[in-house]
Amino acid sequence: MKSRFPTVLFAVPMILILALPLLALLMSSSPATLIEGVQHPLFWDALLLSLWTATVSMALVVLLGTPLSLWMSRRTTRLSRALQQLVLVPIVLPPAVVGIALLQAFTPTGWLGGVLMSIGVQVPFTPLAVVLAQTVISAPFYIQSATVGFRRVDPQYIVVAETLGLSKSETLRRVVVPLALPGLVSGAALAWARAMGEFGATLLFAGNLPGTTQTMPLAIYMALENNIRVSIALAVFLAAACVLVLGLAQWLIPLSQRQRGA
Amino acid sequence: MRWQLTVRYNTSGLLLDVDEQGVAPIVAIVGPNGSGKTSLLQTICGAVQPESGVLSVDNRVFFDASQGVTLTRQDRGVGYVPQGSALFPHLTVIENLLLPWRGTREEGLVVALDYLKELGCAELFHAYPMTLSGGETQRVAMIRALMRQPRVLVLDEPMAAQDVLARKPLRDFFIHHRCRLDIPLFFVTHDARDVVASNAYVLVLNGGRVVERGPVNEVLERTITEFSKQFFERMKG
Repeated sequence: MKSRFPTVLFAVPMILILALPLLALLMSSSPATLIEGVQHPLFWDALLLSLWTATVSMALVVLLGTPLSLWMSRRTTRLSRALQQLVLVPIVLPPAVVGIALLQAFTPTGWLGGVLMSIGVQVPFTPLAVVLAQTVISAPFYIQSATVGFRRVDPQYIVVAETLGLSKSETLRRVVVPLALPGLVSGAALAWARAMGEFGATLLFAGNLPGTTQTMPLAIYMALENNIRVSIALAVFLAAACVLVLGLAQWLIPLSQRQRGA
Repeated sequence: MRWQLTVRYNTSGLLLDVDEQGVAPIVAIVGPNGSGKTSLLQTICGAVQPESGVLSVDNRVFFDASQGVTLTRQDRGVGYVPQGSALFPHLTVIENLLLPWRGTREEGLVVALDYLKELGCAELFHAYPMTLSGGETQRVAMIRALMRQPRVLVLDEPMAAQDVLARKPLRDFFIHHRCRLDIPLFFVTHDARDVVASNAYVLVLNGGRVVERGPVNEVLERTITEFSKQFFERMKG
């Protein structure tokens, strides 16, 4: 006989742990708090900086991560398996470690930073450093999702497309990428949200300079020292932006499948 | 319409070892499950590459290991309908049909609509593959293979999902267009009626090797193996 015990009860503790912080944040904010946050001098600079750096880093991740994901999805060699583990490293490394590592690479006395400095490019403590930190931290989220997306494309579709006369690039553009799109879209949304939330690596590599490298998470941290209400308001807006983008991605994916009559 | 299928390669535990040649325009490949029928078709369209051998169809060499010749899938000019048909799920029927078309879109639309009408499925024009039945999917995939303006047709169980009423029209359809285009046709089937109706040259595969071969009338007469006895049993009665 089928058990009547509602198994959903086992899921409740985890749901509570995940939902409680967000609920607490919402409950501790009010329209007055939000207005105060919006009017704070930190708010707009931090929001705009976060929005453009996260968008640029997502574009970089998609541009550079897609060929890598495609390559890894088609190979089962020892090298590709090792690379698959390697790209996950930024997920498991503490962001502060990534920040220090980036600083060492790009500091004017470092090997790469020295070369860049000689042509007049300074990376640390600039918006470029913000983008780089976000790119390194968020790339694994996209690459992982895109690799799975590409792997789900039945190889038979590729064979058929090529026998139909489509070149390799046409097959990629007209068959493989559209079929892998759910993985690519959700990966890009995850990467964007992760970039928006980046804190540790940005703080160490780009600093916390209002108007230049102070992103939303850093502004929350800074506001916390003086006025927790402003800090809460910033946090609510940041959470809303991330949830909105993830929701948008989740809405877009089934939309494309509904269109196909699924 | 000379063809040569000399291939040898290991495919998931089965050693496909075939050495056949002939001039028949229609070749039916039959045999029990797992005998290598699909693998043989896949070598013709270039889905897999044999370790050694020669593949040539209608005086065009697709593959010759000793000469180092391997024609790309694009250059083979194969109209391939795989098992399950593999219509692209993100494209509508008409988008699937226009994908291989090399002329103008307007010409393509006219040709595609003519084919769809011929098979009685013009109403599927804007449908997505997921909304089609198995039989409709196969018919559309067959039309798509013809839209490629192929130099050889390779069909893997093209009528497996057809009901009794749709079977004959579809069979007549591909036999007619093969004749019109004057191109060779290789197909796999589990139904003796397809083999007899197309008056095909038969290759009976078992365990990766050809165990019987010849024009259908001759194979029908002598039926050496247990498989071909049972396969053609109904046709004799």
